[in-house]
Amino acid sequence: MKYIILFIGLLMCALIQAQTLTGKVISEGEKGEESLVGAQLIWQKSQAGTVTDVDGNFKFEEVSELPDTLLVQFVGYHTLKIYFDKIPEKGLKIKMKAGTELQAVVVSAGDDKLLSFMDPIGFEKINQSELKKAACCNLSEAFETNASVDVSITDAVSGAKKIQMLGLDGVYTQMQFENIPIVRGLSSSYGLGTVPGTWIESIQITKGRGSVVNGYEAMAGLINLEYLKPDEEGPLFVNVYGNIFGRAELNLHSAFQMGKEKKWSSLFLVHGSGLFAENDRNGDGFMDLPKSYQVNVFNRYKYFGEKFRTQFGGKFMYDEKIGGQLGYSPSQDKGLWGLNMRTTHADLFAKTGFLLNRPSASIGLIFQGKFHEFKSVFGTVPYYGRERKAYFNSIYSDEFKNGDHKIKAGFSFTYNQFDQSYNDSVFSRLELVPGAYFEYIYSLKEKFSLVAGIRGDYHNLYGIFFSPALHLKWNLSKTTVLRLSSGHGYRVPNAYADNMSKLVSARQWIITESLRPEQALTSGATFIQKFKIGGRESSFSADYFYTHFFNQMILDMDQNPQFIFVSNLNGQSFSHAVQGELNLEVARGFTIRLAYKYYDVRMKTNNQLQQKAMVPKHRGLLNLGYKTRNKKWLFDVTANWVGVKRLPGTSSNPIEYQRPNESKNFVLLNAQITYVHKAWEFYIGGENLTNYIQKDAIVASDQPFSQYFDASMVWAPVAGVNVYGGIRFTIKKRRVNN
Amino acid sequence: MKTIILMIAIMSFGIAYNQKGIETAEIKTSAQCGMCKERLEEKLNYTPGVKFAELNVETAVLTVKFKSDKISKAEILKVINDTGYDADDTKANKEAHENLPKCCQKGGHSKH
Repeated sequence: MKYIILFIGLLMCALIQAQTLTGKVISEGEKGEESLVGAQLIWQKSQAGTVTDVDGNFKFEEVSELPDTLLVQFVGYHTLKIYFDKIPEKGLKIKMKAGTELQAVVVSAGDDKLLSFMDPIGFEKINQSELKKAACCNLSEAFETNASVDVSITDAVSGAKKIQMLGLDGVYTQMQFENIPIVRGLSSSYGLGTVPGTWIESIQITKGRGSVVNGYEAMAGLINLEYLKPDEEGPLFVNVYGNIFGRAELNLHSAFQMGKEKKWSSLFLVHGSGLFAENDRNGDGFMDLPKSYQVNVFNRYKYFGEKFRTQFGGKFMYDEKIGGQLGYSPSQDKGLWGLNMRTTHADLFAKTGFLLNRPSASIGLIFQGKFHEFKSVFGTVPYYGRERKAYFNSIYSDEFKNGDHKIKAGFSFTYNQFDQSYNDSVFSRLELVPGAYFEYIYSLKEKFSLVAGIRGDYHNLYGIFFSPALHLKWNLSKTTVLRLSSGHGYRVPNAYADNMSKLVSARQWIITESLRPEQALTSGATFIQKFKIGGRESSFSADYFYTHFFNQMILDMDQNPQFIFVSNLNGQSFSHAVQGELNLEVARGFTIRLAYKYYDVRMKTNNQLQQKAMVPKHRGLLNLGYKTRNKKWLFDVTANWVGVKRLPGTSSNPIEYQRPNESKNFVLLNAQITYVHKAWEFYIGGENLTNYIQKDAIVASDQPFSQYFDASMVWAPVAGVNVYGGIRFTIKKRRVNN
Repeated sequence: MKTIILMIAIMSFGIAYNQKGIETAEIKTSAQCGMCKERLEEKLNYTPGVKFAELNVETAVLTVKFKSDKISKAEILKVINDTGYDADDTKANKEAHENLPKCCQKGGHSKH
């Protein structure tokens, strides 16, 4: 839990009005009360902030809009959230409890998405009410209403989806589960499907290079997932989902708090889903979506003590997909083209935090172990991959001079064993990567901040990786913020695992040279302006990011439609990404989000610098949401506009297997209606409501064993309208009244 | 264009309210904090006949929109009393009031 939600009952009920809020922040230790110097206080809504002086006192001259929630933060202490309707007549006395948090402190708004305003490193947050706007199914749907992350279908057979940030493939975005890297290595292609949507409490999205604390792999962006927390969830949550393709899904959550003081808590998350029917609406003889089965279980524990805290848990998943021609079965050879993928995944994690004698200093330790095995057959070609990983990271954090100066430093170590085979070739790789980092954070009240991080890792195969990052932030006014960031990142590519969707074709893979680590510098600027329409919060944001690759794994599909040439970058590769976004609450409960994105992504393929295939130059998003005043009905509509994409050339194919060199503009329309009745929620929704289908998505679907077969040339949905419905039932945790 | 029209159609379905036989009442209550607001609004929003209820914590005035053929104002006052709060001139149900958290009871705010 990132926050301790403290209901100071008497404060909350304070009646007498005053404009000035004064008070004192103290720590409650064994030696009695001590005043805390440099504790941060921030109003959630107005974002006004202050810091306590040498005696622990603070003062807000003018508290404008109430009700609002005051956040009280101090490194080494649990963050407090205090809700105010009225300003109390007497000064406040705020007691903070010692305890360390492994996660960076996040300022969150009560509703919907938030653009961070005070944090040194900017991020956007997607919280539960936003996540519920797309009820189905896993992480790949979670970004549907978010403009910064694009989701696209990877091929016409596996049904898998992949994200993109800044117009760059999802592998360049580092994905984390509560600051532990996930969906990397061999799980990078299908990893999004392994995180059920209901497990996610919130998502934080940072564009560009994130903090150096979590490694060197964040280039285009950093996405941190917060799963549900054992001490916040209730004894039961059930979600049942079904759709017209024949997909059914069941989620069960259960949490309980143990011990006299409820210091221990545990949470079980169980997910089972399957798609049991064969669908072929476009009539090409191939299933539009694969049949699938997934069992996914997660269990976590949390101990929450005064000076020591720990969390640990594990996950187990088995997933099978069967796709390809109608009637295909992996156990019988009927001469049909088929795709069969079986994934077994298990991981364990532990996070521990200690408070040191200095109240502002703490140490956090993170451990992760992972086993991932992927057995597959693409037509006649088998691919096998196994990854074993052990990961350790440590974070020492401290602060000086009232919190104006903060430091974070630590060591990390990664052990990664990859064993893969494709067709007859076998290749294995052992990676041992010790690393160290140091990050310095300077804050000048709420006006300016700087985060400067350096990081060095020694890779046993590729030598030294040096990956610094710099973030600057100016609050130009109470409603305007400007951020600049720049950072250098690395990544070790896996030719097949990173591009699994390209295996769904008859193309022959030619790896022309030994691949070196990918290396890129990403720099960008973000501008946020907040304003009000009739007293309701609205915002405008604009950003620009430039990514320059020093080396990149290039998949050249342009030379010849029967081949994929894999090589290091030999020439230029870069991305310019521009985004503008408007968030409005035009009437009470009625929100509009409008976004436009321009991507200029080019790299050298087929001996010329050209627009990257499958990346549109223009994209747009329009989201309308409405919540009735009695909070019982929620309506949500999202339109995603996808511009023209360049497609790899097919001109040397026989005429019937040729495809245009460009895709078409199209709009994807999704909508959902939710009805809430006490503990029950009923939802019904539709995806791709205009029924947009890419015609002839599979090249040579009539001759799947010929050299022309290619199901990876997909630029739009291959499955038509989807209609789904479901029920959620929640028993909330009993709230303790102070 | 087709898409935008469809989106607007879906949204206006949500916004369209049937205004027939609907009355609005403003009721002065003894509620005094955010927790009271949550409690009262949830209670009333799930009372048959009530379209919505919103409490202004600052003025302690509860705005209730309701269908007059299904529920009367007197019945709404009774629901508020049974939740533990005074409403206009009617007094809170004593037992319900005592079951409220200390801070939400009358005078709970003025002890400091």
